[in-house]
Amino acid sequence: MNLLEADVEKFQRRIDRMDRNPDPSRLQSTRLLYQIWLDVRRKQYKDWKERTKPFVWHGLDAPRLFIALGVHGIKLTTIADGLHSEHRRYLPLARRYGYPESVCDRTQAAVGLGLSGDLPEPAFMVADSCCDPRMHSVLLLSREMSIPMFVVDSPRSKTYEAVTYLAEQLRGLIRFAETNFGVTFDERKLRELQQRDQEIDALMEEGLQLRKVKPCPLSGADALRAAPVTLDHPLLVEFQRALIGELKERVARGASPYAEEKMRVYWLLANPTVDDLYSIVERRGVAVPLMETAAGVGIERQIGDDAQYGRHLSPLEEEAACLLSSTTGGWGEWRVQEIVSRAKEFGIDALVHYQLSGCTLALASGRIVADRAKKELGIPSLMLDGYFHDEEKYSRQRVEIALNDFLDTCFAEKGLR
Amino acid sequence: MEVQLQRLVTAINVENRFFWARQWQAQGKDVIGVDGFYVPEEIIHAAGMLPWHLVGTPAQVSAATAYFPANSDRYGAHVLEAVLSGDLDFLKGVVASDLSDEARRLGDNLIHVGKPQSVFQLHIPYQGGDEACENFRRSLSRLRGVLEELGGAPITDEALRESTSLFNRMRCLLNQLYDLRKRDQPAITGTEALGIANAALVMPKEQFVEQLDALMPYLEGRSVGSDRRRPRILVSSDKLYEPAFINLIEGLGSLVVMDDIDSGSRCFCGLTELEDDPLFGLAKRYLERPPETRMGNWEQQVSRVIEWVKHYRVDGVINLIQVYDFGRLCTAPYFQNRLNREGIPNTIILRDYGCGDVSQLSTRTQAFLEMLAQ
Repeated sequence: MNLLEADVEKFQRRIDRMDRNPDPSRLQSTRLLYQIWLDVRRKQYKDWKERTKPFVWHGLDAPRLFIALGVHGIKLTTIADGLHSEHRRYLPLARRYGYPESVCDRTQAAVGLGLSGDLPEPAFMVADSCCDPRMHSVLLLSREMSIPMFVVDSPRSKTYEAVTYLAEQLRGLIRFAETNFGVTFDERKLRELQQRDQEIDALMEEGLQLRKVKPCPLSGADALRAAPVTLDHPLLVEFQRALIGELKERVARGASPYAEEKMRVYWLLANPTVDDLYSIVERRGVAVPLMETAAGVGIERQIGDDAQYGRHLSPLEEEAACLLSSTTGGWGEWRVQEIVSRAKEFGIDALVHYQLSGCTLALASGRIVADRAKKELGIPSLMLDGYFHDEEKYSRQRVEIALNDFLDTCFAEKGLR
Repeated sequence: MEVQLQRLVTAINVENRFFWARQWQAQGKDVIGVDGFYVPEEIIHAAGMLPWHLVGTPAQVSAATAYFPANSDRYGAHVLEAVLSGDLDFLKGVVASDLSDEARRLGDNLIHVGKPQSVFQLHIPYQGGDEACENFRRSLSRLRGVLEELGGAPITDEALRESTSLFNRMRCLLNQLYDLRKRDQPAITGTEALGIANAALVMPKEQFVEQLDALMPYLEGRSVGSDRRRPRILVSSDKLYEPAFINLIEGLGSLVVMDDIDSGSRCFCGLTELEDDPLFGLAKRYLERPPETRMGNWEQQVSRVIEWVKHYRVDGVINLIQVYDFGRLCTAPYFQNRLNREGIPNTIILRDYGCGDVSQLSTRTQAFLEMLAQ
């Protein structure tokens, strides 16, 4: 079954279940989120069947640009991250093709997904240089499927010179798409989306600030919820507003998943799909208010901030500036500063580095982050080797023991039990 | 002349590779480490400094494991190990790059451990073309400024042109050397070829050019052939600084007649055009020369290998991939499929950074050679 079709069924099931068995303890705005996804997937499925709108597979974190180009952008790793049992099929597919087993399994899943035929075939693909495995996975698929490809080079700098260089490449991407695939770039749509996301970002920041409250009003899973700005839907702002409203209401009545918050950790990289690791720490009264790759946690560009470059940016320059502000594409010092800054701001007691096997960015920067956090904030780190999707290699027992041992040590140092 | 040849061939060996850098430092001059083959060494040379390509310790990694875990890039781990152990204390600075995520992290870790005193992180664009070349040129201008400050002296355009000419001369000589491998009875073995190419990474370029130039007439008349016809092999790899790997392959009864290695043929292909703006000329040469895996233009890289198979009459290709070289691993299926479509026998063999435990390499190479013989 095509993934779009499967998603339509999935989100309809979830909505039906919520309507049949309302649970007041869960976030009610989730129903609106599912409705948004259902609407988008229905549209994408229809466009795919009727071939009315091209699909583009990519690794570039520029969803607004793809929407304004009039294409359906599919970021392969993001789609793969949202799947669960499907990885039992996608990982072996990638490996049988020859994609290495030692590379991050997020890109293994993405390659397997791409090879599976479960996605609409793309008109073209776009690779970016923020992360090698992500880039190579797109390059590999484009060649295997003989699909045209465009590469965007990230200059790893935040100067205005870098912004104009990257903006020029985005212009090149637009020209490439318009010339070869009959699409038309709508700059007005891009501005509209940037304004939309400005509003969403402000709401997300409000939500983020709530997590400073102790005990944390959000579980780790709830902290991940945010408007999926990769989508084009009129209700995204409404959803974000409803979500923040619910979270504020929880804080106002003192509701928290933690009877007592003994300490709080900053989860680095991400929580895997193979397991819910937050539950291990949360049942011991340890909150997870921050997860590195969750929306809004990164200290990224404020859309429309004229002060950063001392000038008002054009819409494409704005996209470029946003891309450049992500630590994924930057030098190690960017990542360190962001993590240490957020850890200080949120009163984090410890870092848990979920060191995804084959992650070229996290593996060799974990020690730098740990040392700096210890030096500047006096907080310890746990290095946890792990996998995202690979059930066969993942060991719950090993991870659980490591986490609990670490927490025992932290509690002892704090005089807690 | 054979003695001089072998001296050059073994310059990269562990017991020799630091000699020139230490001698340079003892003379009160600066040695600058270079990571990757997209850093224009000409600029460092024009500053009167010795560009010294970062080569790690082949021994076991211990201290560096804290920074580069066992399941991460081995080149970075071995280089960092060499830095932490003091082997590279002659370095005044390093020009690191983002040639790969791992290279990026090597630079980050060097800054973190505070050795050497100066680390410049250079972004290498992922493509050629005017925009990218101009962007790279601006980065090179900043590098020039940093080196001028470090060295306390300006780097003139004239010095840059002279250095560029010298490096072009070096590349021409190496190309001439590699041409001698096309013969039925090549003038040098694959081990010797890689040894000589790697010597250029750790020696002052003037000395290297002088020595190789003097050897060329001797090599024109030299032959390593034997009565027995051995399979002619092309080895493709990256960060292969131990010619012992090639020696092992040849020791099993083959002749490595060509390589597609970043420290071998790829580092001296493409000359720099002397432009009015020497920095722009360098930017253009480095970005637009025949590509590596990371430049995304895989078709060009594999097409060149296919051409070499014809020109060097290669019987089989060994894709010798360093474990955890993720870029190379990711492109391997494409590389293999293209060679298969051309009917070129090929195999993928994983190796470690250093030539320590090579049992698997021996077994798989032997099997490949036996297959070729059938």
